Amino acid sequence: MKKRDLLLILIMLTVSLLGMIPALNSGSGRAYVYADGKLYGTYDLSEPQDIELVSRDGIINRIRIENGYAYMNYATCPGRQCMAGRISKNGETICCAPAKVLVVIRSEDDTEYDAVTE
Amino acid sequence: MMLSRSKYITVSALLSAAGIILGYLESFIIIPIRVPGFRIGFANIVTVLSLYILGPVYSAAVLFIRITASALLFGSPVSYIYSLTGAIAAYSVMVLLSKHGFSVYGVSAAGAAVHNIGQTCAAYFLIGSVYVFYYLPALVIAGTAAGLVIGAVSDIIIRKLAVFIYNNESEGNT
Repeated sequence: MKKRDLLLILIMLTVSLLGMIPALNSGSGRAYVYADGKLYGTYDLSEPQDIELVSRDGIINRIRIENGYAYMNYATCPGRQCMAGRISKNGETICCAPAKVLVVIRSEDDTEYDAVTE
Repeated sequence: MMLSRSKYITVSALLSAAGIILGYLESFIIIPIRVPGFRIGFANIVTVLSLYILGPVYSAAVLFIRITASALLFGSPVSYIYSLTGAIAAYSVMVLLSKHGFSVYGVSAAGAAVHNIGQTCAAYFLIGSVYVFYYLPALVIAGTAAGLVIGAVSDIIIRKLAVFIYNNESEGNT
């Protein structure tokens, strides 16, 4: 590895770390499920339930909510990357890109994000 | 030493095939970290290799063939858009850096990071929500780390493979 490689990598990491600062605010709330760019429904994280979505291409996504977390329980998309990890904090997202499904956690008192999306 | 045209085409085809398989194998691995969209990018080994062994023109062909064939075999039109956006963004940066004296490590790490940025932008246009950018910083950090690993692997392979390819070429000519 050369010196300039190291410098480049350090710059990338620093910029990324700075970019993470706004994401650190937390506080649990509701799961907002978007399908195909539209709001599909909002769900309380304290109520265990399954939400099943079928995309226009026939991709099935099953979102499970339990113990204050939301996660992708089942998906038939090609990569199944959406099944990695679970979310609970304000602003966290699960995104199934091939199915155009998005799950976002928003806390009740958070109005800042509404102005951005709506 | 220059390679013959047929050798270029043969090596391109071999690398494309290897890339398709690597990408396919990777789809079986679900990485248990909480960064959605993160992949190690095994197939990126092929992109780095082809860039250093074949040069920008042939490696662009290798990349395009790999992505198109993978999409036709295992993907969907939407996944094709994501792959292509990420690949074009990453490849442009990789070519640029490799021409300005960066080593495999820097090229691979920056390629991985820019790939993630490109895909996130594609997700923004397809899904239409700024939320997709939430994970971008974490994705870039994870991508940079994965890119370094891929760079290290590529570095080892390039040394062995280049000797092999160029040696055979000189034997074929004599």
